[in-house]
Amino acid sequence: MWILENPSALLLFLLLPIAIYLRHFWKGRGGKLIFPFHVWHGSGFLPLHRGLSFANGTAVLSFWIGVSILIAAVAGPATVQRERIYLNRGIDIMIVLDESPSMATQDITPGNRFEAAKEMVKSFIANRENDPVGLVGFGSQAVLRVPPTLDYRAVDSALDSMRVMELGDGTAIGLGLSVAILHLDAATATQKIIVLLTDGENNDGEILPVTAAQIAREKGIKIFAIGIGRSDPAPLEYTDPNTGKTYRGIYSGGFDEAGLRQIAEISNGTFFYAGSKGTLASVFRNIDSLATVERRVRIQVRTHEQYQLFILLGAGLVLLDFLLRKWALREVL
Amino acid sequence: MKIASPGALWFLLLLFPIVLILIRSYGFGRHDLRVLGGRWQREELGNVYLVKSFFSGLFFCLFFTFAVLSLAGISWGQTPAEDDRAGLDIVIAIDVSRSMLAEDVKPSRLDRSRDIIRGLLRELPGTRYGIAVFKGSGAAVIPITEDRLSIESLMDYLSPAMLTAPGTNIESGIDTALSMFPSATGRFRAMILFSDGEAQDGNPYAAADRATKDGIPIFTVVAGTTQGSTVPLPDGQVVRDGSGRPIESRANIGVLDDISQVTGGVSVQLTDPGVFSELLSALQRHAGSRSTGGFTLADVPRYRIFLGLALMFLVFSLGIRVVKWKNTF
Repeated sequence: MWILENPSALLLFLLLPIAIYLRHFWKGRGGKLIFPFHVWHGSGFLPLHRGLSFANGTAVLSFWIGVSILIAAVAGPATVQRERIYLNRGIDIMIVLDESPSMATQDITPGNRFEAAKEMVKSFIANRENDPVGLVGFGSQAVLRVPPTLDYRAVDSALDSMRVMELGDGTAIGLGLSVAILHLDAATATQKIIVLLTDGENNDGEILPVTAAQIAREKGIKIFAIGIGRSDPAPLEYTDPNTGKTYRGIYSGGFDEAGLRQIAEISNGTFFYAGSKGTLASVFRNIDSLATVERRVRIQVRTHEQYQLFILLGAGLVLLDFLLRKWALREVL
Repeated sequence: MKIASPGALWFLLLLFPIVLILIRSYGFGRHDLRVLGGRWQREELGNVYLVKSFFSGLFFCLFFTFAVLSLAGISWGQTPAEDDRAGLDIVIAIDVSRSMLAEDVKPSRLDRSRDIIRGLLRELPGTRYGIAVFKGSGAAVIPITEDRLSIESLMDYLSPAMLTAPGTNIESGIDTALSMFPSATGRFRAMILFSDGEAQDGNPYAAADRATKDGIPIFTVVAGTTQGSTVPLPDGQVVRDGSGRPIESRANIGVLDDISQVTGGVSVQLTDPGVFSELLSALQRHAGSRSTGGFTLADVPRYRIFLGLALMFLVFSLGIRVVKWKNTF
């Protein structure tokens, strides 16, 4: 929205008609040459120099428009932007996403478990406003992809770059949770949660999921564990990012429901089952409603001064008038 | 006194062609008056024409000068302004070009920069940090976060191999770092730029202008010396030019000083033994002492004074031409 910081300066526009009269219509003005240009009592003639008339008209218009814009610049044109400023800290959320090959099972349409999970995580993040979100990926290894941040573009971009099998063919749930806990530990948020998305059983890594869940409880971190996929046989296809080789087959096997329930219960979190994309979406809506804090917001008005644009334009037009008069029209004075 | 857009002052160079056009116009005018003949050839009228041309031209030049000064965004003095920001967001932009491996700062420019960053992470409680690196282009590596552990882990991996784009583009580094700040925040914001200032691409001043407009001061850390040194390679050799001569990398202190000055930051030198405490206290001043009881001291822009003078001289320039002198011209 545009505003004027000093609107009283617009009173200068009242002087404009006087200046226009003095420059263009005052018969007694100086700086002009009067001499006969037609025969005595004759009808005279008007030379048809359309180019000159056009240049003269352009110069006059440029000058007065330029002056008007400069007067507007004195009035302090600015744009204002209203922004929501959160006065309190949101919830720190760490997404822990399974990247093991079984996540490429195509029993959740469209795509596969991994793509559906990524899509749901993205829409979950899109609904957050003041909650720092981080991302951990795990296979046989676990790595921090993005630390908890309010820069959701960074999380989206990291999600896009994640590939099945990048971190090995195992499922180190305990390790994934531990990395998430490590990076949430120092956060000053009053509420911290981990959203674990996996389709398998813990079969790798040095840390047991139960141990990780106990540490999480000690640190006051809740784990929302989501089991993805069904145990029925389903096609599986993925490309190993390390070798570029594509694997296809039929995969049957589900997540360790009891293990995930235990993890959630130990850490005072909740277990969810997501057998389809629809249920996965409702799981995230549930987490949305479970993980909430009171938000105190203030509206901040930011003013961006735009006078430079006006001065540039106004002075440019006055300069154009000067060039046309002195250079093109060869004005004497 | 501060100048928000010093680059605008380059427009003052247009005064030379303006003066030349005025002189040319006066010459043609005298000639045209003579050609008209009659009373237009009289000496008295010629003098009036000279005086009117001179003052009209002078006032037009003054109009242009003051318009440019107003465009530059000059400010002086400070006024209390409401400010309830708390906490500090810092994005650290690190030059990881090959010249940062030079050893004119021990153990190397990059290693010493790393030490300073590690030190900062231990200080300034509650501060959130983000990391951007740049060479020929910039890249956001760690978004603004409270998680210092992830930043400390990254320090071990800082090297020219992080980015493939060759060269050094400080503008891109600053722009990448600027893009990492959230738009709405109730926190103070600052950027720390670690670089030797040897920019081969981009326009750092344009990026500094953008930082000023966003209200983000850039604290520059000059990594290197003006004497310079060769740039070692991992195999023990040094970087050489096409003719086989070793290339000496020298710090460009001027550009880094200018960036900090324009944006309201501070410039410190990595060779200075007190660099860490200097930088730390500058950041503390930025986030702490400026804001007292919900108020801060804001610069007072003075462009209206210059613009008012510009309009006044434009009116004078017009008035000189319009008012008839000695009942002649």
